[in-house]
This record gives sequence, C-alpha cells and structure tokens, in this order.
Amino acid sequence: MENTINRNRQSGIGTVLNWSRDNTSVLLLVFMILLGTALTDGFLTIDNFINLFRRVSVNGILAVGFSLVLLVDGFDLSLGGTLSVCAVLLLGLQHSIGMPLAMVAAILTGAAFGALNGLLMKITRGGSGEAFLITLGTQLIGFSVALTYTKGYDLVGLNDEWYAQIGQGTFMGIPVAALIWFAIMIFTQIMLKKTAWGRSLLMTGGNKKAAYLSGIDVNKIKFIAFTLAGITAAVGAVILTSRTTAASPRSGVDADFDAAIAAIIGGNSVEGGKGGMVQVFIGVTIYGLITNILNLLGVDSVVQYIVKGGILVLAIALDKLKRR
Amino acid sequence: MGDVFFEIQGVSKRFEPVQALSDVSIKLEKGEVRALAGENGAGKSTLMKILNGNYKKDSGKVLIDGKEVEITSSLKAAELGIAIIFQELNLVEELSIAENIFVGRLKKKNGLVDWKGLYEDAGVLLKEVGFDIDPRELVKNLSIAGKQMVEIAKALSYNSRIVLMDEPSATLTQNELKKLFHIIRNLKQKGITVIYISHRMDEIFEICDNITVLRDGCVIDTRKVSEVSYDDIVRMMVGRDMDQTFPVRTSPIGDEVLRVKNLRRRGEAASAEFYLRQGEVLGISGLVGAGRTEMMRALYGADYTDSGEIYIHGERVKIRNPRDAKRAGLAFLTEDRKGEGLILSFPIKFNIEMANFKNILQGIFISRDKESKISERFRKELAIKIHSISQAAKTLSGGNQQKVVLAKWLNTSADIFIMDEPTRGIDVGAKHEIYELIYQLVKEGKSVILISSELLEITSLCDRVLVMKEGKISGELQKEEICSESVMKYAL
Repeated sequence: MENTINRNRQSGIGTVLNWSRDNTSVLLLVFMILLGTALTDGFLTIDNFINLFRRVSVNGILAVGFSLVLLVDGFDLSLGGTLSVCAVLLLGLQHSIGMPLAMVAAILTGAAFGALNGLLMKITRGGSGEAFLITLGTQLIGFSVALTYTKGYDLVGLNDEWYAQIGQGTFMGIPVAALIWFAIMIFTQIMLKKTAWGRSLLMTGGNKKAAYLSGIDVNKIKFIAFTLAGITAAVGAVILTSRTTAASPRSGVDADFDAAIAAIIGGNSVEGGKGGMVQVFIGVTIYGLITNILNLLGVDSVVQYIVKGGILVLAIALDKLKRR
Repeated sequence: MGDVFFEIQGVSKRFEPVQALSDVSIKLEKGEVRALAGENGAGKSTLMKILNGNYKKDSGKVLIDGKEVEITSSLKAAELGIAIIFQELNLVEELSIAENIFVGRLKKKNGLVDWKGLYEDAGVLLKEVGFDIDPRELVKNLSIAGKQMVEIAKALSYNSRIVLMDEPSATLTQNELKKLFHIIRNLKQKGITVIYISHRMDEIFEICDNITVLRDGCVIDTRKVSEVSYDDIVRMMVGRDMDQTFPVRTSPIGDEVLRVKNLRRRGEAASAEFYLRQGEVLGISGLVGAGRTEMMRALYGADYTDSGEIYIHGERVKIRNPRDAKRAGLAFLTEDRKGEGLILSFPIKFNIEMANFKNILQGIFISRDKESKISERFRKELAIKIHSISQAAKTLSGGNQQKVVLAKWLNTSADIFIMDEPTRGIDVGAKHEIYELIYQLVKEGKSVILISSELLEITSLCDRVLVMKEGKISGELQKEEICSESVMKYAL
C-alpha cells in the first residue's frame, strides 16, 4: 500500500522534473525572444526569423551530429576540424573534378573522419572522457590537414549557379540551407524515435553495459553515430562554402564548440540517452538569438565567447542538477 | 529486565503524501541484539537515517539515558555514540585501515600525523573486533567482510554504544558471516547494543535476542526471538499468511539442452564442464569470489574466453558476445540489476523491449500500440506493481525491478535463463514471487541456472547443484544429495 503511494509520488516528481527539464530550454527561448523584442525594432518579424534560420543552419546541422554523439554518451570536438578539411577539399577539388564529385569526396572525407573517431572509440571501449581526448586528436589532424592542403591560404570557388543556391538561395521564401537543416532534423528524429536502430542508440547512451548484455551491438551503434556526425560536418562545409564561395583552413574553428553549446543548452543530456531533435532545434535557435542580441548590443565577437562559454558551463551544471 | 538506555518515542516522519514513519516507539537495552525487520518500504531506512541525522523527524523524541537528544548530523550521531554501518561502506579504498578508522581526526604530534600512535591505536581496535591484520594494509585489498570489520572498528573508536547494521550479510559468505556473528557477540559482551537489519530469517534466529517488525511505517510488534516462529515473523511483515516459503515443484525434467566443455576464461587455468537439462533448475553455489558469476559471464560471452565448446540441443554454437548468446537462446539476469540489467532513467516499457525489438515493429517503425501491448502483457503476467509502463525503472522497488529484467528476457525466445542472485536485496514477499516465476519457467519447459549465495534457495529450489571453489567446479550434487552440509563441504 505504502509502496504504491510512494511510487506514484516519485514518478509524480519525475514528471515534474521531466517537464521542467524540457521547459528550462523553452523558457530560455521565450526569454531570449522577449529580450530581443525589447532591445530591437522589427525583431518579431518573419523576415528576422528567416534570417536567423539562414545564419544558424550550419551550426544547426553540426548540432544534429553532435547530439547523436552526445546521445551515445560521447563527445565530438573534431567537427570543426572535419568541417575545415571538407571546406577546403570542396573548393580545391571543384577546379579539377567539378563540384558534384567534390561534394561526394567531401562527404566521404567527413564520414572517414567520423569513422576514425568511431573506430578509436571501439578500440578503447571508451565513454565521453575518451571521446573528448580522441576527438581532440582528430580535430588537430583535421585542421592540420586543411592547412597543409591549402598551404595556409584561403581558397576561392568557381561560380556554379546551382551550388550557390544551396547556401544563398531560397525556396518559397525560406532559405535552402535552413530547409536542408530542417529536413536533416526531421529525418534524424524519425530514425531516433521510431526505429529499432534509434532505440538501440538511446539505450546505448542510457546504459552501455545493460544494452550490451541485452545483445545490442553498442560498438557498432557508436561507430555509426560518430560517422554520421562526421557527415554532418561535411554537409555543413557544403553550405558554408556555397554561402561565401570561399574556404579557409580556419572555416571550422569554434564550429564544434558552437554545436556543443547549442546541443547542450537545448536540453540534450551530457550523460547520454536523453534528448533529440526538438532539443537541437531549441538549442540552436537560442544560441542564434544570443549571438544576435550580443551583436545588437555591440559586444565584441571575442568577448562574446565569455558569455557563450559561461552559458555552456551553466547548461551542463543545470543538466547535472536536474538529474539529482 | 535490563536497563533501557536508548529509547525512540513516538517518532513520525512524513514525505508528502506518504507517512514513512508513524508514532514509532522502540526501547533498547544495553547489550541487546535487536533485529529490525520489515519489507522494503516499511520504514527501516527512514528510521535509520533519522538516527544518523540525515533526516529530521517531524515529531517524537530520541532519548539516551533518559535524556532527550537532537541528532542534527551524522557527526552528532557519532558523538552521541550511534554508529551506523550502511550497506554501501563509506571507506576510502586507497587509504590504510588505520587512516580509515581515524579519518578526519588523525592523531597528531607537533602538527604532524603521529603515524606510530595511529597504527598502535588502530591495532588495539582491530584486536577488539577480532580482526587480525596489519593496520597499514590498504582497504582496497580487503574482502567485503574485512571492510565491514574496519567499519565496526571505526564505530568502536567513537566509543559507540549502539551499532546499527543495515543488511551486513548481503554480500558476505557463510564463513565471513560466522566472523561477523562472532564480532556481534563480542560487542554484546561489552554492553554495546546492536540493531541488526536483515531479510534473512536464519540470521535473525541465530544472532538476535529480540525482533521489532515494521510495516507501513508502524511498529507491528516487538517480540523475543525465542518465542516467535519463522511464519510469525513473515506474517507480521507482510500482514497476511504466506502459503509457503518455497512453492511446491511438480514439473518433470527432460533431455539435455546445454552442454559446456572445457570453458576457460581468458588468463585462467581452471576450465568448466557441465550440462543442463530441459525443465531443470541447476544451482551454482560456492563462496563469493569462487568464480560463479565469472563462469556464467564467460558462457554468456560477456567476458573473453581462451577455450570452450558450447552445445545447445546437441549442436555446437559459437558464443563470442552477448548477441551470439541471445541468438543461441540464453538469457542473463545479472547480479547488478541496476548497473547492468536496467536503464534506470528509461521507462519500464523501453527496458522490457531492450533485448528484442522485432515484435514492436510495424514495418520499419516502432508501433506504440504493439509496444504498450507487450509491456502491459508482462505487467499483468508477472504482476509488476507499477502505475504506468511509462514510469522510469528507477522508481521501482528491487522486486519489481527484477521482474522488469525478467520480462525483458521473457520477451525474447530464450529458453535457458541464467539468474545471478535474483533475490538479492528483495523483500520476502517479492522473493516468493520470484521463486514462483522460476518454477513457472521450468514448467513451461525452460531451464534455469541459478547462482545464489543463499543456501536455503540452493537447497530448496534446485534439482541439481554445482559447487564452485577457487574458480573450479568442486562438486556436483544430485537432488537427493543436496543439503547445506554437502554444499559447504565442497565450497570450503
């Protein structure tokens, strides 16, 4: 009798906690929108938000990859390095083999970097700690390969109308880049929540040992998650280079941090197993608004990282607190 | 009778909306060993935490020598002479025994630690509890029983007058248990009162003078142990008659379903050979650390092996990992159900479907409908007490968690169930249900390998027993040979 009541009560608290966990990010989003409205004119307009989504789409796509890795209790610092390599490859190869083939090459390269992370994770049987160090290594490799390939110079692309559309064009008023981001999120969300593969991925993140002993191939799941993250970095590179028709070995600098911050403030748990694309969407939007507002306030972009770093630390602390 | 020196008067504690303790009164005498019994959730831990200063009581008094005391922190509790030995021991593994005993109050000379004096003092205390060991030894090198003795020595160092032990035997072997009882008798002689919390009746009958039974936060009764029977205690605990502690077994045993030859874990010299028949409960007994769990993990592919041939229904199968094992029809209910059996933060339904997604898929997508149908079916079949299948697994009691793990494996095509300590930390009522479920399994023609440290389970439930010692199978007992003595003969 007492047991039953007790359980009801605990799950009641659980529901409230779950609710507030999802709501912290929603509340933060609402707060950002109110702040933006208070600080600027024409904030709450469709145009402004379309602009926002155009700007955050690269980060948004990387955040999808990052959260997949986060969901399997990993971490990926190499996304920026991978993005740099893919970006310089795209424009470098465009001159010789043309953009379509260059894209294929870039996607394969992104996948290869992710697969390397995944393979090392498999070998070390690692968790988020190992992932941090492994991807720190591949990040350095990525940036270094990009620098070596370009000898440190920036590359300029050829004019390809259809290619420029990816980063610059709109479809029915909505930026193509944002549409690609939305499509990736929807596809990933369906995979995560509706398929056995997604369920296995969440379980691997939730409790690796239990999942393994239940016959889930946790190493394969991790390998795939990291590989997909690498591919998102490549897709991000395609959009970025198309937008600017230029690529630099420094294109991806801080891209991994941005993706990490966005994924975590959106409510994806750093302990794995909890989260999804709704959290990615909210997190990326909040993060975009923060940048937007800081720019409006005239805060130097160098100083902005103090605010952003602070928000990341806060988000991680909140996630841990909520799990108590 | 003797003098009452410690008294709990009308203590109540409410955690909205549950009355965890209501008007609990207990009187304790000097040198008494008092059993505190009750099902999980009866209020034992709440009471203990109030005595340890972790929780504040809503009302009531605690009196020591007739004077009211306020226990505001665990430090205060220690100063008042109350020592609590929790199931999870609070020792620093990398430090020596002496440092652990005097942690936070190391003896000092001229501002530096007086190591010599420290080791001497610790040595005296260890001698008092009858633990013959160098106080410089690191705690991590001790067995669990050894660690408990260190905790007890620590309790003595505070001049504790009352020692509470929360299921100290849960992780002890029979031999270690004997030592523990010896210490308890020593404490008793010194006039120290012991409160002994345990689910195991035989221990209560052996060591305790009196028993207080809690149920739903109330004291049901306090009786002399010599004047109550096993059934009386169970009745007081669950509030109804239990039909029988061990259900009656009727199903027949069939042909061989599993044969293991030359199974050797990586880096180990000993190899194992055994077989299992259809409808059989095969017990694996032996001391903790005898290699029972390890042997089963090797069979299941969870640990690496150097050699081994496994035949299922006469056919050779290769088991390199748990996936292979599952495909071969094995199910593994681990000893550590929280750490390895469940995803605590996930809903019950996810936990149930963890080992098999096939029957919840509609095409390539998961069907919520099928998902809840399957979970609801197991909830009913196994009588899992929950209010929703979407509830997180961590909110369940031990018994219900074990049922969820069992449901996970019943949801596969497994016909060989390896259960490692399936009733550990589970209260009497739920234990009985687990026994029923084991019998249900074998009745349906499935086979069970049961690892258990509880001799009573081994002797009452099993059709055949393998006893392990130092990594090897040291004896095999047929149904008619199984008794505690024969098991212990091979185990020691």
